[in-house]
Amino acid sequence: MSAAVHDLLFWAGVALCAVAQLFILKAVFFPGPLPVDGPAADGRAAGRLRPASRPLEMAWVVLPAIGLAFVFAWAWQLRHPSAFGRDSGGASVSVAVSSLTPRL
Amino acid sequence: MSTVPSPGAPRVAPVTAPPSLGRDLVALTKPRIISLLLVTTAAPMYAAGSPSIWTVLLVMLGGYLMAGGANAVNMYLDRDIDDVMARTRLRPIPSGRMTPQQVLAFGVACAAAATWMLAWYVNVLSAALALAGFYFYVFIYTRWLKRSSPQNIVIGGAAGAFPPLVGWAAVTGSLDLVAITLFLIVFYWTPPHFWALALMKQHDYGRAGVPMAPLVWGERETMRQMLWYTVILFFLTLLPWWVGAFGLLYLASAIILGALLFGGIVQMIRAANAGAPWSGPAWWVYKYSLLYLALLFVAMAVDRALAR
Repeated sequence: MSAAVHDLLFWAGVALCAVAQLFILKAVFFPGPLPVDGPAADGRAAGRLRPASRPLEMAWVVLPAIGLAFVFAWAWQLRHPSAFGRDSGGASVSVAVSSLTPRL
Repeated sequence: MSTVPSPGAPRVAPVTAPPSLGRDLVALTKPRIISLLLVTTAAPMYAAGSPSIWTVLLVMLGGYLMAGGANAVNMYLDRDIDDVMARTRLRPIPSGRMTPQQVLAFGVACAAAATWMLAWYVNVLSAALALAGFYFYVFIYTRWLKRSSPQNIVIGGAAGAFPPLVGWAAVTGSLDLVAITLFLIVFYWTPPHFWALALMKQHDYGRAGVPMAPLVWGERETMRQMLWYTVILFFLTLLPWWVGAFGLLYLASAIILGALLFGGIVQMIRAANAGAPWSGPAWWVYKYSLLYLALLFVAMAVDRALAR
């Protein structure tokens, strides 16, 4: 597989993950109308479902998104060390991953 | 759906072997759940290197004790709602076979033994990671988020994602991108897996006041969220191949297994949108997601073993 196709696959994956992550964030930042019947409405009516802190709810979905972006950036850096302005590419990381034989 | 007894109804144990202290102690550790955690611990060990069988056995035992201890402490902290939910009413505390103090002591003892065993016989990093998973599960998930946020199993899922780190660290003594990716794979796998169960048991969770996603967002939104998490999961599982850590066997496994999971969730959503019963597809997603994670991790180990 050529390097260009390989990189294209990566960016296609990143783009789809970004779209999926945006929908995950949207559900918390801009929630739609709540169900008017069923167990969800019953629970709210009975006051059993304690409302969560909204800023915390937002933080809980933002943190994994940051982690995901970090991992994708890390992966790109491993394949393209010069892209991040240093050839060593994060010493401890490179050493550990280079012990796995690349088979591309 | 199972028939849910009222809180005041007499407890009728299923017709199996009579209860005993030994069986109760094993039940406190939730062995069926731990078996999957052990797969996600052992497979990364073989993916990371060539560990001795002694190291693997020690890590398995330490991992079992740590996860079992966390589960026992979880039962201690959740003893009030375990008494309300049908699927947990026969556990040792709500059924009165063990006192809360006994269960707490057992859980802490298991975690202490696991920490010592991993630190002494394997390495300090694996012990620290396993202990971090214990604390995360007990304090972040059980104590804090479980009863206060529909994100409970999303963030709490991180506790279940520690085992691959423990296995990797036990062999390499360090963590790298592949190990972190394995962590994220389990992290993003947890919501579609657990929400499939939550969809089917939402009445139980509602009665106990646990704000699971279907109760807060509704069924449709929960199903859509399961789909988005699965999209991310799918591409995360391809990342180790992309960086050259695993080969074509793993790649093919990740694509096939991921496509089946995605297809199952789409089928569930289609059934819900058509107004048809969706509990069958939801149950399938729940059961298959267990197999999915186990086979994905086994594929990693086999891929690396064949490459050596």
